[in-house]
Amino acid sequence: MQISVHFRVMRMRLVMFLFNKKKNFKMKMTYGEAIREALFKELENDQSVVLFGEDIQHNLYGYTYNLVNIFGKKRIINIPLSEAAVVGLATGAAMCGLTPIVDLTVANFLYVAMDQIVNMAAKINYMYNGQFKLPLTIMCSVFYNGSNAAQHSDRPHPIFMNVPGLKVVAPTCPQDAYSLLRSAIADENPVIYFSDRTLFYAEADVDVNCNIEIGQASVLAEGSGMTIVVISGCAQMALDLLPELANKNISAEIIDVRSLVPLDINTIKKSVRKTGRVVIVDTANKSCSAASEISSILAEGLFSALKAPIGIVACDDVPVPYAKNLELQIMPTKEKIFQKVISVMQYHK
Amino acid sequence: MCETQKFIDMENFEKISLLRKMIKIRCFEEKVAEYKLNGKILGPVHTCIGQEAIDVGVCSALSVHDYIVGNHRSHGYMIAKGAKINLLMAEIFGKSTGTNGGKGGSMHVSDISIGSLGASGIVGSGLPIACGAAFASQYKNDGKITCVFFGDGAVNEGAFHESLNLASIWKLPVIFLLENNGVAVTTVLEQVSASHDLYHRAKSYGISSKQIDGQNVEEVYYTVKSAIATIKEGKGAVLIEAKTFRFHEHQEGQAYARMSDVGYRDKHEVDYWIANKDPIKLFSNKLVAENVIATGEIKRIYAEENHNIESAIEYADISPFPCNEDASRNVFI
Repeated sequence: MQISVHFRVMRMRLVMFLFNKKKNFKMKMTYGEAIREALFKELENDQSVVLFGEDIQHNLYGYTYNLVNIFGKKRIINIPLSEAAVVGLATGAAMCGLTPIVDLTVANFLYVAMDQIVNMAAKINYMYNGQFKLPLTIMCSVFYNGSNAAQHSDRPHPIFMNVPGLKVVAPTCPQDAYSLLRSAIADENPVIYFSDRTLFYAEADVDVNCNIEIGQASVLAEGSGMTIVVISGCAQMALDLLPELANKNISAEIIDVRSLVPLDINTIKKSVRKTGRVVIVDTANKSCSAASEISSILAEGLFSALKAPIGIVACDDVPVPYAKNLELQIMPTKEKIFQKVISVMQYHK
Repeated sequence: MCETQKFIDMENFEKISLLRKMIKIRCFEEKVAEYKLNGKILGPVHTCIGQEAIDVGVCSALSVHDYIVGNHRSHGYMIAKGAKINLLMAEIFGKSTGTNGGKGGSMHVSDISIGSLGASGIVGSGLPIACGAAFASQYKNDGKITCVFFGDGAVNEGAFHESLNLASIWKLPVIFLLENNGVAVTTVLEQVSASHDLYHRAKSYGISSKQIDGQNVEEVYYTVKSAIATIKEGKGAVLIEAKTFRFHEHQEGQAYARMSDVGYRDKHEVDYWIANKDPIKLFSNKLVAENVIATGEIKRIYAEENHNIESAIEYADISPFPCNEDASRNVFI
């Protein structure tokens, strides 16, 4: 694992060097490598950036590969299993001029630090009336569809959408993983960055000079008959469906929200005004999900443009089971999205 | 930091300055209690009456550039560190001219211009923040010290233990100032902790610690000076347990006033502390006995500070409330 990561990083840096000479900044990277590249760039550009994390110096998944050798243990810091105190410490350090990144690895571990995230990081800007900057990034990954069972498979982004003062991003491709992480680190507000492990080894071109601001949705495919709004790993499922939908003469427009807070509702509304039909796909549990929130906004503000009821495909409201067949049963799948799209298409007033 | 190092005695004017700061806090807090009762102050207010020696001893030993992190009972630290009482009172009144523009209130008073990194009403949650400030100082090598204030209630929070461990392994320049007043709201320490000497807890984390008389402002001052010297030698964090007593109820106002009759703590003990262990009386008597100050002069200080507090009340009272647009401002920077 480490050796293959090593070769990939070496190759990446070599390609980067050659491309830089040609003033062309595009290169192939996996989603995980894109995260590493963003961390590397921010650490290289700004001495105030420090990276805290569990096993961050020798990271199992390779996304901090060799950073400790390049930037040293003063900046790449292994932490004790004290999620709450470390998030609080990073918050305090951010108030005093550093730019901390905390990697909590599994999204479920955010719950251990909940008081510091919700009562401190999220509220400091507001309750202290803007006296402090808070350039804090909290990174974690969602590990669903991998038989990781109930305590390591949550997709808790909607919980944090309900906490004013936190920005929340969920990139779905290597370019977004790279650019949104750089934007998160540069942001002067606390940002929670959810990477998606189902996408971790997907490879695509990344332009290392491409800046993506937090709060901009992306139109992954243009269409005229149906809007499919996707969140996190659901983007790939929807993209994979395009040929089948075309066979059914359904022209689908796919919108990846990318950022949940702030939510680019205008891009979604623009599409729904055009298509009149929408299915929203979310990895989170359905109740109070990002999907249900987007649905609520559309029902409230765009009712007259809708030709059919809004469709939602999300995870059933149960903890994630271990057995593979059971997990697949509760999670969004290509088939479930397909069925929902068909039923929304077939609805006529 | 087992023994308090010997420092050159304070000059008389410095001693008088400590006394004046304690009197200022007492006058401020008594006025806050009065205005909570008459309904001018809406939200919860926790006064530090009886505990002023800690606020003043600590903040006088710190430099203006050092950081403090407070808790729900933070008026005293703020005043001792140099906050303007007009702005502090305006904040407690919920006015736009307050330290936090009226958006924090008594429990969240903050003012970076005096090194205050704010105050948290969630018990124990300021400790990690203080470790972070100390981490930043260590990283930048700016020589600043951070002091976080918390009570005996906080030592049973996970954040206390996690923070002490972090401060120890990274040798952070932080002072953990534990104000042990023996009670959390109405739950006395005996009910929730097997040991009543809480400074022992620091030892298991390899943090030097000491228990002192929190009613003695000079002892607090010299202990903190000594802790600062220890930290500047690179020996890392220090915990100071200052034994003290909360003269009033947990909060001011009618509802909490009733709690003094429910019997959660011994009335004789309360009376004893107020009569014999009032930090301002103790220090006044000492300074008079040492001929540092005359009784008449102390009376004059009270009159001056009360006059200043009256001005602060007037300032807070006539200040405008925040405008409606402020409700949605600063959710993000």
